Order: sequence, then structure tokens, then C-alpha cells
Amino acid sequence: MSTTLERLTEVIQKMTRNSSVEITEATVAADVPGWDSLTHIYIIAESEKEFGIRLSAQEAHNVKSVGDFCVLIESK
Amino acid sequence: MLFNSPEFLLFLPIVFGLYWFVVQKNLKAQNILILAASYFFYGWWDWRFLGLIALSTVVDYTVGLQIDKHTEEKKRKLWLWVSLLVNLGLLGYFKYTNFFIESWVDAWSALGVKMHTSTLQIILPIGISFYTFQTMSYALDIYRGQLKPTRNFLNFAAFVSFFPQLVAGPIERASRLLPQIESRRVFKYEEGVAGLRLILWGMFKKVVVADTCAIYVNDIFANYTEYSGPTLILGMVYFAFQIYGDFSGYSDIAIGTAKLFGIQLMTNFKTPFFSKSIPEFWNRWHISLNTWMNDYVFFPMAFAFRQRGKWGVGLAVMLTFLISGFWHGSEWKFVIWGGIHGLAFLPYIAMSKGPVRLFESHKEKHGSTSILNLKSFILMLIPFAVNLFAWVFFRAESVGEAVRYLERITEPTSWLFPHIESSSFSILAIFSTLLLDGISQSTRLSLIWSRKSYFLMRLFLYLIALTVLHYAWITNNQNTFIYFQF
Repeated sequence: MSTTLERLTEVIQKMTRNSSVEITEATVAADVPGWDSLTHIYIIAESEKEFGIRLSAQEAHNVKSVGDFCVLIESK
Repeated sequence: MLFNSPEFLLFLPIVFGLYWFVVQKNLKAQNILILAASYFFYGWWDWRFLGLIALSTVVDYTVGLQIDKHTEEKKRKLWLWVSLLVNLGLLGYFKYTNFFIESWVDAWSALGVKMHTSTLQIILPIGISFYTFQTMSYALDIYRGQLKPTRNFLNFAAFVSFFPQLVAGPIERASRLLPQIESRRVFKYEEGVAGLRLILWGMFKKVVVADTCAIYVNDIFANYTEYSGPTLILGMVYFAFQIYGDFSGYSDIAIGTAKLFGIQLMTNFKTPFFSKSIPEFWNRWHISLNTWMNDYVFFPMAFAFRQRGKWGVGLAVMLTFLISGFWHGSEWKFVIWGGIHGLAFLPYIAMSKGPVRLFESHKEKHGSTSILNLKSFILMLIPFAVNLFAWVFFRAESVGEAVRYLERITEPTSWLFPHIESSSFSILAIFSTLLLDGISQSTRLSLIWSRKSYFLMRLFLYLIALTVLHYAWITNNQNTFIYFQF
């Protein structure tokens, strides 16, 4: 069973169309080419589908790092 | 006060002198000066307008503090709504009341019901579309937790009313402008020179390019039934340069003036006619409004529609453009103009295989657009052509007139009608704009502005510009800037 981080990494790689980018808990959007604010929406949407959760606009806006994101996902 | 007026030419050096030679040691005094000068500048049009900007200022200052004070989501949202309702209410009343009244009446008369109403005599306070957006973004950013409110009313009031950008933008964000107001400005010679150069260039674009093109645009649009098809097309091109010269010229004067006071405003135009696609164009034209729309209108909508894939994005884009059109003016022609751009955008969304960069500023280097290869040149024609088409709606008196104008171009018989006599001066003016914008695309050629060894060449160019400017100033009437009506 993959971890949250692994599954989230797949989502990010898919939405930024870059399957080789390295994602760790410390990664932030600025580190990943192609992760702009619109891609951010797509990542949120895809994550909601992948993890079966629903995020509010505020939560989506406040996600700063991949680690934060994992914590948020697991709290749902 | 207009930028291209004698009173401004008197006003500016006086304020500049006071700012750097009298009150420069005291930040608070400098900010009081900014505030006083700005209210003076604004009140010059109509002192009654001052009450409105003061209202918007007081409301958003208070809202900012209140939102920050409360942690309960409901209370925070409530205060945010106060800001939105007051600002949009002001905007709605002064700008759109007559539109709603007339549309209401028109809708009923289409059903055969006659209504008697009189539209109200409402003067549009200048700049209202700009400063209400500026203060709303303050409240929104605090609500989103991206900004801390200021506890200094003087500074906030200066931020809202800062005269270079008060009347027609750039629409500044508090996160960029407020910190500059709240810290000491230091005079830098290079910044002062850069500021003057921008003012000169802005004046040139306005007085030489825009006002010259306006002569032909006004003639052609007023008499389009008597001119040939090619002339009408030329009219569209003239309008493109009129509005570009007018608006980017104003922005340059605003940015240049702010530089004289040690304040950096955001870039509003990045040689937009060199764009190779519609999305790129919207990254380079009226940047301050479009980033505003992106952050506060497009993004929340795209988020709300996020489970609908491309359709959701497309809908969000379309609605954003319609709203943007409406922002420009309380007439259907502006909405249509926006709609055309929205439609033009959709193919780019459909074509992409994944997430699309919309209003996001490109991280790719802007400066290297080369028009010297044919493919680039052809690509640049696409957004240009879309704009020419859409701008007919922007400029014509009404949607109906715009349609008739465009129909006329397609009529073969119109091509037998007389052509307009245009002057080589106007063509030269347009060409010089493109040339100078083109030069700024190249980092190498742009060195002409900074390298000490090119000083004489710069001096020579400034003298030519001033001469031409002087000539145009006398020949053309002193026209107001187009965007002052918004």
C-alpha cells in the first residue's frame, strides 16, 4: 500500500507532466517546474479524487509544502 | 488634473521639490505630503469625488483591522462582505445604475411594455474603478491570510490615493505598495533619470502616437459609411495604436512619476503587440487589471469548477472576460468585447493536453521574442487580428454600429469608395512605437539606455522626442486619456 507521499507524488508528477521530478515532504510549489497556481488547482482536484476528500478554498490556498499537504490529506 | 496639462507640469516639480528638499528627513511628513498632493490632484477634477475615495479608504482600513482581529470564520467573512458591498456598491451606483435602468426598460419594451423612467444624472467619479479594486484587494488579501493590516491610517490613505496611479492604474497590491509607503525612500539619481525617461516616452506615446491616430479614428468611425473597406481596416489599426499609445503612455507616465518619488509601481504593459498567442497577450496587456482578475475572479471560479476539467476552466475564463469587459464600461459593447476575447481564449484551453498557463506571468524570458523569423511574425498576427476585431466593439458607439462597421468591410462595393488620406506623420509615429518596443525586446540593444558611453546618443534621442512631442502637442488638441472614463 503506497504512502500518502507516494500517491501525492504521482498526482503532482502527472499534473505537471513531469514524471521524473523529485518530491519530498520539504518540496514547495516553486521548486517544481510547471506548478503554477492553475496547476495547483488541478493538483488539488486530482488529489481530492485520489484520496476521496474535499478541500476548502482556504485549505487549498494555505498548503505551502508537500509535507503540509500530506498532513492535511491524512487529517481528512 | 491631466498628466498632459500645464497645471501638472507646475504641480509635479513643486511636489518633487518639497518631497526631497523640505520634508525628506521625516517619513511621516513625506507621507502627509503624498496624501495632500494626491487629494489636491484628485480634487482638481471635482472636490466632491474626494468624499468617495475617503469613504472607500476609511471602510477598507477598518475592515482590514477587523478581519485580522477576529479568528471566527463567520465574523471575518462578514467584515469582508462589508468591504465588497461598499466598494462594489459605490461602483455599481456611479457606474452601472443607468445601465441597469436602461436594460430593464429595454427588456420590457422588447415584450411590448413601455416604461417611463428617467435615467439619473450621475457623474462618474474618475478613477473609481481603479481605487475600489485596489482597496478590495487589500481586504481580500487580509482575509486570505496573505497580508497583515496596517495600523497607520495615514499610510493606508496615502497608499489608496497615491496620485500617479490613482486615476487609471496600475492597480497596485498592498503587499507591493504599502511597504514602500511605510519605509523611507532614498533618492537615487538613476531612478530619477529612468523616471523622467518613462514620462517622456509616455508623453510621446500619448501626444504623438495616440492623439495623432485619434484624429483618423474619429473621422473614420464617424463617417464609416462613406469610406472604403481598406480605410475601415486602417481605422481598426489606427485604433489599436491609439488605445495602446494612450493607455500604455498613461501607465508609463504614472510609473515614471512614481519613480521620481522613489516608489516602484508594477509594470502594466510588456510590449503586448509582440505576443504570439491570446493567453500571452493577456499576460502583457493591462497586467495590473488582469492579474487582479486572475487572483480574485478567475481563480476562485476555476477552483469552484475544478472537478469539471477543461469545461470548468473554459467557463471560468469566459465569465472572467465578460466581467472584465463589463468593468470597462456599463455598455453591452464592452461585454461583447470581453466575450470575443473569452471565445478566442477557448481554443488554447482545448488544445492543451493538461494544465494551461492563463494569466500567470511566463517564467520563460520575455525579452527574446524575435520577429525576425517568419513563424514568429505570423504568430504575432493572430492576437493582433483578434484585437483589431474586438476593438471595433470597444470603439464604436454601440454594438449595432460595430456590426455595421464590420459588415461594410465585407461588402465588395465598399472597396470602391474613397480612401482616407492619412499622413506619413501618423505612420511614422506608429512605426517608431513598434521600433522602440522592439528594441526593448533585445537586452543588447536596451543597453543604449544604461551604458555611459551612449549618453550622447540618448541625449540626441531625447531632443528629437521633445521636438516631435512639442510639435504634436501644439497641433493636436489636448485630449484626455481614454481610460479616465472607466
